[in-house]
Amino acid sequence: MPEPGRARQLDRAATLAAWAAFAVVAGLFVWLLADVAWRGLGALSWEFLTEAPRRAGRAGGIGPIIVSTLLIVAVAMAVAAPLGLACALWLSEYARLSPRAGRTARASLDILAGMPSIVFGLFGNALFCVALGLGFSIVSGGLTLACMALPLLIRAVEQGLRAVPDDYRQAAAALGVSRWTITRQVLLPAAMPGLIAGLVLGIGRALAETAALIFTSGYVDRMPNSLMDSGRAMSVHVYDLAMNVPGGERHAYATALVLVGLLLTINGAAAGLGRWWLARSGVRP
Amino acid sequence: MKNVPSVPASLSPMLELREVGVWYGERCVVRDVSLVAPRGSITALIGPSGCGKTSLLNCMNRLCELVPGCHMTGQMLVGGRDTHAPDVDLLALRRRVGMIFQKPNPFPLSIRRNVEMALVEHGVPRAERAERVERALRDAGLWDEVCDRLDTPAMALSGGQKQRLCIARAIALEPEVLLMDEPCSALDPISSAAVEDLILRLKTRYTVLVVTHNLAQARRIADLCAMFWVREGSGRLIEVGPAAEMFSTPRDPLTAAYVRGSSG
Repeated sequence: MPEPGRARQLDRAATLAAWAAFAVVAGLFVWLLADVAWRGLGALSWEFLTEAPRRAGRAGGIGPIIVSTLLIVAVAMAVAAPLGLACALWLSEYARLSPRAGRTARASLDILAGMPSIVFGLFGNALFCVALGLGFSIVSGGLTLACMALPLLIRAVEQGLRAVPDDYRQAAAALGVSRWTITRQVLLPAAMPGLIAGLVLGIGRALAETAALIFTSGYVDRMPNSLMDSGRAMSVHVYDLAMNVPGGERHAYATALVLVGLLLTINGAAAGLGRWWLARSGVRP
Repeated sequence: MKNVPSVPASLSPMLELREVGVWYGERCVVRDVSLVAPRGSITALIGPSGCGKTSLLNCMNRLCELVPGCHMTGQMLVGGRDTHAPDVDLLALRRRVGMIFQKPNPFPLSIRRNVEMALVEHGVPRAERAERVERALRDAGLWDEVCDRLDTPAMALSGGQKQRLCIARAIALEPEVLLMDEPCSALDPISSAAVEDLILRLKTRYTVLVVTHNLAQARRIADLCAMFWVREGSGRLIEVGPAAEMFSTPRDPLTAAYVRGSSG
């Protein structure tokens, strides 16, 4: 039993340590943002956002690269969102009576979520580019990213669905209302926040991805004419400018700044969309 | 079965249990229950907690099938038809056998949509729905309180109103049997009295089975009373008969002690 004075000292030290940990985390975040903004803002202009890159990216802009990135993410989400939603529904609503299948699926998803992205890149290259003959293309990149984002998306949506009280499911069953009706009218609206969180996580992972895209959507920095064209993603562009192009740092930072800005915008928009949807549907969880 | 009361010829059995057992995996929670609930009667299921009353109730609309590993043995008839026959349409069965839960559980939707959802599901034409909603809410004694705010969230209602909404939602489907699992236990005394009155008014049209721990309530509303007790690890029906007799001259000593309030 420490004497009162010593206990007070310990308490003070613990408080200090906790605040110091907070300061380190917050400081790192602010430093990172400030560093990217400081070095990137100088090169940022309307021309930079719209023009094609010249001299391997040292000059010109990143117009085609933004377009390619958005297309890749759009393909990824168009595939991952419905598939992820369906899978999360199966896990939370339909796998209840076969707990073992549910456990197996969850364990697989957790392992997939922790899989290094380079492995997804190799897999995507072998499956989409080579075996399915899609080549280095926006479609191949998007499909690979869909595989990567799915585990995150599924677990987030599933948690959203599980947070909905069982009372509604019981009440619906007792009224002879089918599982699909109650899912559509009550469970999904109530799980909307989880769905949004899952989408944001998925988009975040997709936007940030470099390794998996080098092998699948390729390097080409021209404006894509179709989804079957190769397209360079922003993160790949940053990597290329920073590692392979002497004198590319300035534009690497500017691109990184645009990437971070895009991510924050999408997160904000998704959160707003979720709130609007909840208000419209009248479901209050 | 010496315990099954003789049913007057005018009252045909609506719900009939024949040697029913309820199992969770290998564990038998209810064993060998035979019970007849005549049409238009209120049967109270009483007994201490954990003797399988709710499990038994959940078998009557086959809600127990939502629980992994739960199954029923024996036979159960609603309106003379076997509820577990292979050709029974589960959703149609649950339309005929409504259920009210212990905790009021309206959907997080508007008052109107709470009642309407099951009507839509069971194919009631759009033109009839408004009338059916109003009738159900009137029968549940809720219409005057909510008629000017049908499209507001049901979650804003008080506990007693929510429970009456749940009853309205169930009777809107015009079921034959209403199962009630301690419908008043989460309510304050005034709301509880309102729901109790409602149950009494409903009995002319529905056959009601109500699980209750409130013996005074059972005595006030029930025609028949069924007493459950745990023996050798499973819940059993130890006595069943007209409620008045059960409370005045119980045959089983356990029942006598329980209704006197000195045991269980």
